[in-house]
Order: sequence, then structure tokens, then C-alpha cells
Amino acid sequence: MNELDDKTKNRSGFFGVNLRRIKLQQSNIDELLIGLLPYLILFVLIIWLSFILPASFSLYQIKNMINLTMVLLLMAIGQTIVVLTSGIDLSVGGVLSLISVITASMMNTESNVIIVVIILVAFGWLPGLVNGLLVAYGKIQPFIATLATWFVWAGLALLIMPRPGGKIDSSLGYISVGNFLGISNSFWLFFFIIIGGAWFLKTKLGLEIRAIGSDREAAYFSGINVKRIEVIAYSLSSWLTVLGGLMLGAQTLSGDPTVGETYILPTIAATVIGGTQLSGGKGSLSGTAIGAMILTYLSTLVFALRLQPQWAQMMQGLLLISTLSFHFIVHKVFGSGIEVLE
Amino acid sequence: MERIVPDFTMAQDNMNVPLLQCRGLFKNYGHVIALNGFDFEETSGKVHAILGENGAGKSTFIKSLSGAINIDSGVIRLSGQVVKPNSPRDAITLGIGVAYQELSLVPDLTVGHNIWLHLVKLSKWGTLEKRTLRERTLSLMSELNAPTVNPDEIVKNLSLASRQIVEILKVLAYKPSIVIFDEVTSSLPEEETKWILNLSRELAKQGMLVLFISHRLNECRQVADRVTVLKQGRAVLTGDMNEFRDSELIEAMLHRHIDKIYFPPQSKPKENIVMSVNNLTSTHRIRNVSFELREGEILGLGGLKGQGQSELLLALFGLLPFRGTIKICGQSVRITNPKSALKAGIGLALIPEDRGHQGLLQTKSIRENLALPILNRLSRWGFLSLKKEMQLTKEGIKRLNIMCYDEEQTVSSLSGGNQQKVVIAKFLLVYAKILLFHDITRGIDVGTKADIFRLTRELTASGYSIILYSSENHELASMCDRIIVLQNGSVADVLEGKRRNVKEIIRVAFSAIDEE
Repeated sequence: MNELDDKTKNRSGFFGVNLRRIKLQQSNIDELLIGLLPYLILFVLIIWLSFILPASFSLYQIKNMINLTMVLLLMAIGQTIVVLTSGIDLSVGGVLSLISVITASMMNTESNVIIVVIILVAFGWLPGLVNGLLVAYGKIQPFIATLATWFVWAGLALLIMPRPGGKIDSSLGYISVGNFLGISNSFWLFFFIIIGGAWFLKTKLGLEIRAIGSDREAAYFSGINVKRIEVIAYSLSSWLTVLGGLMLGAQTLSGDPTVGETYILPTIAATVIGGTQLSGGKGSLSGTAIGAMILTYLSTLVFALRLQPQWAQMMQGLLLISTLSFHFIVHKVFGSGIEVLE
Repeated sequence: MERIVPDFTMAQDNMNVPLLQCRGLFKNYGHVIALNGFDFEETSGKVHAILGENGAGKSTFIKSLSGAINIDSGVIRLSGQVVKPNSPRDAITLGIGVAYQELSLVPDLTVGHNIWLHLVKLSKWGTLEKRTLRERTLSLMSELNAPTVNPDEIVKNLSLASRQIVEILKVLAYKPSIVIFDEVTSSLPEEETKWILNLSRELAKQGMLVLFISHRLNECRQVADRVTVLKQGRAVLTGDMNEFRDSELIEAMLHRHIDKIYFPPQSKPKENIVMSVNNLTSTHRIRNVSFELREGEILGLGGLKGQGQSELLLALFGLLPFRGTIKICGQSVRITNPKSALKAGIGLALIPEDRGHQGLLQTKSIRENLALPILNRLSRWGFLSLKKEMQLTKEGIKRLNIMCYDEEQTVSSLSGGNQQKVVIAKFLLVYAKILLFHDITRGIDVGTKADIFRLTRELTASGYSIILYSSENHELASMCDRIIVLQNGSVADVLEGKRRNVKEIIRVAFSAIDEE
């Protein structure tokens, strides 16, 4: 940091020369390491699993893993967008349950499937709009606001369908098991999310979302419409959860009014393991996608090691702690001086 | 009254319509009147200095232009059109750009993103591309002849000075017609300050209106064509800069008569040494620093900016790791964090520079802020004694002359100088006898400065010892018993007796660099 200042002060040489020398400053190394960590963990898990279950290292099995992750993955992407604004969205659980019972009770014929899919995709952002309005205009803390809406949606889901059941027409299953140009839909979706996620954070909206999470006041003074962007972020989160709900319906072809609850904390875990900081402003969507994959692989690994399923949860917790410790150490070693020491 | 020759005067008016015209601006914050019928008028192509004590209404005026607040009444006209900026976004669209002292940069984004966030035409893919950003940023820098800052660097890794430069670039990237520099020079070294002064002249030449706010009169004099002095929310003086002498401007600003700002040492400090530092070395720039501090002494820390002064104070307060020994009243002490510093011997306390973040809980009241470090002393069996708390707070407010309407006022509604006084009061209550002043007068008006210096002198007279780091050499020269000049993290010289003057400080600071 200090070196950089000296260099810029002296203003010696061309810009290009300065830039090349500055490029690998310490400050960028820590970001790089944190960004690479999830990929590294996933790689290790895949290799480990392929030693125990050689069959798992095939395109078919990897596709299955992606399918298994897809619901969590879509929700976690939405969660990350909200977390980047330094908020949190607990209502995704309620929304998922609600979508599950809606699909299970209404999609009984092929034509109904199409109509309901269109309606849900078109209006899936509405629950998030409510969150956004409560947080941005009602000035209610995100945790409380989304806790409240979670309960509302979860209660509504139980009213509509008190116990698991229902039957979804198998045509919905196509989005999960179908192919496009000979490649499985899941692969398409996964790669679209990885690339689209990287792209999204570089768009104007993505930058504004990061700006708000990094420093709300500064963002406001930079001319960003903070409230509007917040509403958009929550809306996106719920829209992605609705897509996740359709994916869930496609896989299970039935409904469950309490299915969402098990997803809430994993979305946050995937976000953090993917390298997004909970205080907002910094993170990556592709990282979150990888984070979600890690969680699935970890459960599968526990299964393959013939451990009791309770181990999976414990190992997820340990992984979360190790990830955060890694972030801390990286910041301490490579970060800028004074800030870290406080 | 009707105009007799309307056509003619209309034409005249149109030609001379001022770019910015404010009439009767009023703004209250609760009981406090911030703007009390403020009038302002200026044509384009001018640099207009705005002076005033802290709390005189300068920042309220700026905020009313930048859309950060809504005025209660009054009219703002841009080229004759009535405007009402309701948000910073509006102001930017109207062509009003404000470079703040409290920076409005987003810490986690890069320099390029911060500058162009709202301006870049999105490319084919809807994103801001790194290369384009870098090119545009560098060309903006060279166009404005600005010191180079790496466009790809993340803002929070930059030094305060570089961030201030980026803040200015960001505002100018909007291509505004009115530029407001709100005390942007207060955190800058000389070279960058010079750049801003030249830049302001250049921008005015290009037809912009520059409003220049600074506490440094000589800067205003160098740069401004015209001047307005604000006092208690009103314009008390307006005119060409060279019409007025410094003393007249200061007189107009001051709400009460100030005899003197500085309180130089009256007698020699006592002989007994309260703190001795031996071979203090830290990975953060400090190398083999040794010195002694006597009872009742003000020991200055000087030199060019960034030679290890702030790191030294941070280390002494346990915020930076270091090697070396510190003895307080002859006893060796171990300082590893602020708590151990406060408890070491007779106690060490740091009055931080960034009062907004390090020193105060902004949303809490004065009383709560003052009580925070001494909760143990105020409570009995786990319950706080409100009576004791009140008594101490009232005492603190009175002793430091804190301008507030009562002790329950939130700290964020105080002016900068008064906030600084609260920080000092807070640390006086902890019974620390050695105080480390970390450039605490930065961006503070003359009146508050005088208050703080008077208090500083009173403190030493009653047995406190103070290490005073200031970026203003005048302050060091007139306040300190001895001055340590740091260069590159080590002690270049210690100035005593007749050598305590600005010239000598500068000479030592610079000659040390020449030798390298």
C-alpha cells in the first residue's frame, strides 16, 4: 500500500510501467486466493469421492450431482445477491414451500403445467417485492422483515396443503431430465449460472448492488437510488427461489409444505463458502454456485464413507468455520496493514 | 414596481443571469438553526471561497445543493431556473458536483468503477469493461493533470490522500457546471493541495463555477476570486477576495472574539520523566525510535506526512505490534492492545484522528459516549448510576465548552469540532495521564481549535503529558515544548528552545530526505 503511494507520488515513468509493477500488489492476492478457494475445495471433494466410489467420476454422475444441487443453487444465488447488499433473506424457505404446494395442487395436467409455469415465472418476484419494500421503505432490519415474511408464506403453504402429497404432471420433469442440443438441461443451466453470475456482477445493476453493500451512504451520495436497488435485489432472490421451486417440483413431482425450511441455512452457507462476505459488498455468484455444489458433494461423501447422515451437517459446519478462518488469515497476511490489526 | 424599460432590462438580465442564485435559505435541525436566510449568488467562471466556523452552516448549504437534505424554505436557481434537488442523484443530473471531505467513495469497488459508476455507456454486453475503464480513468487523470492512482486498485486499499484525489476525479467525471470542493485539501500533502488549487483555477477558466471551502485562509487567497463568510446561517460578508485582509475575514467569521489560538508553553516542564520509549521498531514503518516524555510536557511529532507519526501513536496505544521497551514512571510496561495501554502505569490514551469512526458512537448521545469507557466506575452491583453519569457529563460539557443544547443530544448532530471535544472529554474521564493527540485539529475551525489548545495547555498545567502529532507545523511550533521530527520512521532531530519554529521543522524534514 505504501509502496504504491510512493510510486504514484513520484509519477515516474509511463502509466503502463507503473501499472505493470502495481498489478500484483498484495491487495489483489487476497481477493484472488479467496476467489479460488471454493474451486479448490470442490476439486478435492470430487477427487476424494472418486477414490471411494470410482463410478462417481463420470459425466452421468456429475450431471446427477448438479441436478441434486440445482434447487439449493438457484436459491443460494438469490441469497448471495441479497447478502451483497448487506441484507439477508430468510423468506426463501417460505417461498419455496409455497411454490411446492402450489405446483403440487395445480399442475395436474400438461396444459396446467404450462400455464402455472408461465404465471410463476412472470410473478415470482412478488414475494421479494414485499421484502424489499419492508426493508428499503419500511426501514425494518432485513433479518426481522424476512423472518416475518418467511412465517407468512410458510403458514400459507400449510393452509393450502397440510401434509405432503399431491401429484404434478410428469411433463414438468422435462426441465430437469430433458436435453437441449444433446446436452442435459442441468449442464446448460449450471454453466449459464456460472457465466451469467460473473457477468451480472459487472453490469451496472451488479455494481450498484455491490456498492450499496459496501457503503450505503457513499452509494447514495454517488447518485445511486439505494432503495430501488434494494427492492430489486430482494425481488431477484424470490424470483430465483421460485425457479428453484419449479426445479424441485420437476424432480419430486409432488409437494411438501415444509420443504423450504431445510434450505434456508444451506443457502447462507453456500454463499459464505463461495467467498461472499456477510457484511456485503464483496463476493461472487459463481463462487456461490460452487459453494452449493460443495455442500452436495460433502453429503454424498459422508454417505460414501458410510458415516451416519448426522456427520454431513457437522462437516458442513466445520467447513464453514475453516473457510472463514482461511479468509481471516488471508486478509491478515496479504491484506492492507492497519485495518486488519484493529 | 414595474420596470420602465422592460425589454432592455430583460435582455440585460438574461446576459447576466447568475449561474447559481440562492435566496433566503432556511433549515432547522430540531432546535438548531443551521441556515437562517442565507443568500448567495455567483456567475460562472469564478472560484468562490466560502468561509465560516464549524457549525456556521457551510455544510448545510452544500448539502442543500447536493440534494442530501431538503431546505425548509428558500429558493435555489440555476441559470434563472428554480431547482429542487431531492437526492444526490438529482443534483448530479442538474450538474452540481460535490467532492466531500468525508469521502463518498464505495470502499469495495475499484477506482475506475467508483469514478465511472454512473457515466459509462454500457458496452455491448451491458458491463463496464476493465480495459475501457482503465483507459478512461487514465485519460481523465492526464487531462486534469492529476496525480496517478491505479485505476484497478480497490478503493479501501488506497491512502487517504489518494482517495481524496479519486473523489475529486469522480465528481469531475460528471462534467458538472458547479463544482464544490468541501475541505478537500485538509487531508492532502502539499503537492496534491497545489494540484487542487491549480485545478480550481483551470476549471473556472473553462467556465465552471467552483465553490471552494477550506479552513486554510492562504489557500483561499491563492485560489478564490470572491469570498463569502457564513456566520450562524447567514452570509455576513461577500465580495472580492482581495478587498479583505485576513484579519477582517477572521473577524467576520468569529462569533466571539478570539484573543489567541495558540497557548505556548509558559514555563519549563518538570524534570521527572513519565514515559521513556527505547528502540521502538515496527514492521509498520517505525525504526528505532527512542524518546522521553516529561511530566507536563507537550511533545510534538512533526515531519512530512506519512513518515511514521501516526504509526508511532498507534503502536504506543497498542494498535500496531512493535518491538522495543516502554517504561512509564520507571516501570516497564507491556502494551498489546488499547485496554492494556489505558491501564499501563498512569495510563495512555489515544485521541484518534477519525472521530467519525474510531472515537465515537455516532448514534448515541453525548452522555452515553462519555460513560462508555468508565461503565465500571459508574455502576454499582451491575446497575448504572444515572446521577453520577449526568454529573460527569455536565462537567465534561462545561469544561470543554461543547456546543450542544443538552447532554442527550446525539453525537452525530454536533459539528465536527464539537465531536472532537466529546472524544477528548471521554478520554479525560478514564484517568489516563498521558494523552496521544493524533492530528485532532484536522478540518476544525479556528474557534474550536483555540478551545482545544487552551484545554491542552490547562491539561499539562494540571500534570498531564501530551504527545501532539499535527500535520500543521504552525501548531507544533507554537504549542510544543519539544518537537520530534520523524523521517522515514526514525527520529531525524529533536527541536528544543529557539529551534522550535516552522522553518526549522521543514528544514529538518526535508534535509533528511536530501541525504538519502
